[in-house]
Amino acid sequence: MEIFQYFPAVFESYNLLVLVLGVTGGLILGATPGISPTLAVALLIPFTFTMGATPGLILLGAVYSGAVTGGAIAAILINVPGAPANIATLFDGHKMALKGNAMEGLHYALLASGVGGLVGVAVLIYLAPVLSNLALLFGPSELFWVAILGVTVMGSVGSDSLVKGLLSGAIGMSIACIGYSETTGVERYVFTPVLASGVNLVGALIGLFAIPEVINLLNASLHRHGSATMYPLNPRRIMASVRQLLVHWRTLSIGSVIGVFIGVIPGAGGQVAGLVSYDQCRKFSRFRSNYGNGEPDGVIASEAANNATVGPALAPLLTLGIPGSPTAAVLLGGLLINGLFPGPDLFSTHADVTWTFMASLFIAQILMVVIGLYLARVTRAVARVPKRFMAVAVLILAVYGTYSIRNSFDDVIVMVGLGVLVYFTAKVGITAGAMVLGLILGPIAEINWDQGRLIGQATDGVMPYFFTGTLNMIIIALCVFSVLFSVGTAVVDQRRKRNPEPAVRDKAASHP
Amino acid sequence: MKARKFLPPLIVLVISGALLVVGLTQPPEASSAYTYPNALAIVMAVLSVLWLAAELRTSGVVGVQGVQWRATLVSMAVMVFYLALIRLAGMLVASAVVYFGTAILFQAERVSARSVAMAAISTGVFILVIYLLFNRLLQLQSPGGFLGWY
Repeated sequence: MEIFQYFPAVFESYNLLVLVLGVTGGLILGATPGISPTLAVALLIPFTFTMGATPGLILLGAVYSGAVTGGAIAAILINVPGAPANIATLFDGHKMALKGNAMEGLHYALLASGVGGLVGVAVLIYLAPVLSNLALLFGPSELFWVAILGVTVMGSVGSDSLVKGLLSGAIGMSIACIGYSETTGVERYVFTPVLASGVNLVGALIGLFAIPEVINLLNASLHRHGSATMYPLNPRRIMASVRQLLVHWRTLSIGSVIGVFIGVIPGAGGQVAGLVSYDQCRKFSRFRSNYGNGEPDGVIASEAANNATVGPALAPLLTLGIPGSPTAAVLLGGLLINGLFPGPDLFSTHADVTWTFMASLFIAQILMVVIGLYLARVTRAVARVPKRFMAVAVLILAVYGTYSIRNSFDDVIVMVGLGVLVYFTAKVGITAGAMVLGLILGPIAEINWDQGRLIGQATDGVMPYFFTGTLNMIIIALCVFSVLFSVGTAVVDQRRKRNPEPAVRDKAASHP
Repeated sequence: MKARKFLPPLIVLVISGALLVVGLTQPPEASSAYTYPNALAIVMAVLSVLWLAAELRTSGVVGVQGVQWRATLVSMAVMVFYLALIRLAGMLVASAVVYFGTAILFQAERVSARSVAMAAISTGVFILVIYLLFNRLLQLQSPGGFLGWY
């Protein structure tokens, strides 16, 4: 295999130093609310100007991988996802932390990220041309159905009622409509100038999770409730987590495979992969009722999937110039700046740069786990921070992170407003989790519906365009299966509530 | 008090109706942009009716439970004060003031010289880290205030 010739180049002192710094920086930036992997990579592109093509790409790839994983640290420790890709990690990760199992959650997140990342990069190395052809099969109709497949997750995320879950998602999708329509340019639901530029996804995401947390922490401080610190912290040996991860091999495999397939689809990205993987693993789990209450499988499913997207998202980028994710699009800029144009040339004329970059991505996944586990030991100090300090620190980070996205104070006001809104709606079962799904999937569904409609009108008609074709039919079948399964599960859960029986995983098996 | 549990779905129903009215009263050139939002408003209305029906079937009061109104209003006041102070004094000054103020005012123990010193040191370190990370290393802008400070 050609790739093996290029591994030694990764271990040259300068390249290795860049790789270690990139992974560490990516983990820290990813853990900072508001700094998404896309922003982290974009911010570091200017640093690559003078570095040369190979170290420059190594830095960007390392930051990309590190930032996707780093977001899980913030999601687990402070209930604020570092990036949209870590939303599903938050559902169970923070619950684990509240139960005193923050270290265990961090171990699972990092180890699963490493495994998912390695699978993704291995697939990129061995199957780049095949994946590129797969990416070309996805047009607006297929992407629309992928978004709808994600929508079917809504009913089961974070709410105890199917109707309230779906309603939360629909509210999120409606919020995403605020501002200019991307396809028609018409202004919608702009009742105040603050909303003129729409609702920024990352800002909304920070607000929906961070602000209710800030209110809860300040309330607890004011009432002197319970412990002054965030939560108890049980020690955890890394080897115990590794052994448990092997027990959860099925979740790890499902997450990695889903991540690989969704990663290659342009426009879907780590957030959709994490959510779909979380939902599918939940559906096939014997411990469904544990999901959302601190189930390790929830963290593993999400993190394995979102990191497995990193490699495949680069396959269409390197071979065809089609970025599989927004971060890959920024990486394309990094390639072009260094005079590298995607296509066959990249694997012949510039083979040394391309293969060394892919080899470095592989090594980055391993370094990410090692450095991440060390950082986790340091960051666990977060658990000992008094609640009032944590509340105000989260508030300041939320404001800083939101403002830095578009340098807009309106975004900050919208972020706080949405957070306060969801603090109250969560009390009646309209939760942030499903609402965020709506915010993410709504625009994907709408844009692809509009584009598909135009294509359909110009060809065989709208209905044939959306309802024919092998890929469309497969995804529609998955949607139908997902809905039927959700309804069936809701009915079974209702019956179980009437006749309660133990559905909790054996504690000894889960936490040895 | 039993009527309280019908309030949340009714509010959603009213909002959905209002959004639908907004969508349906658009001029013809803008109406196509509202096809998707209108469909969502209808879905929201249907779901809120289903929610209402579910509340009718169940007994007992649900409503907005678990809200500690006094504490929540104080927390919200802190946030509003912080945002207003950012507009006046800039991000860094406002953050320092709110961080220090919250550390002192929300502490359970009696305020002492030691706790004030600890809060001041903590504030200084946190603001310095934030400044170095966002403003210096990443070269990101932070909102300035009318007084010209940051």
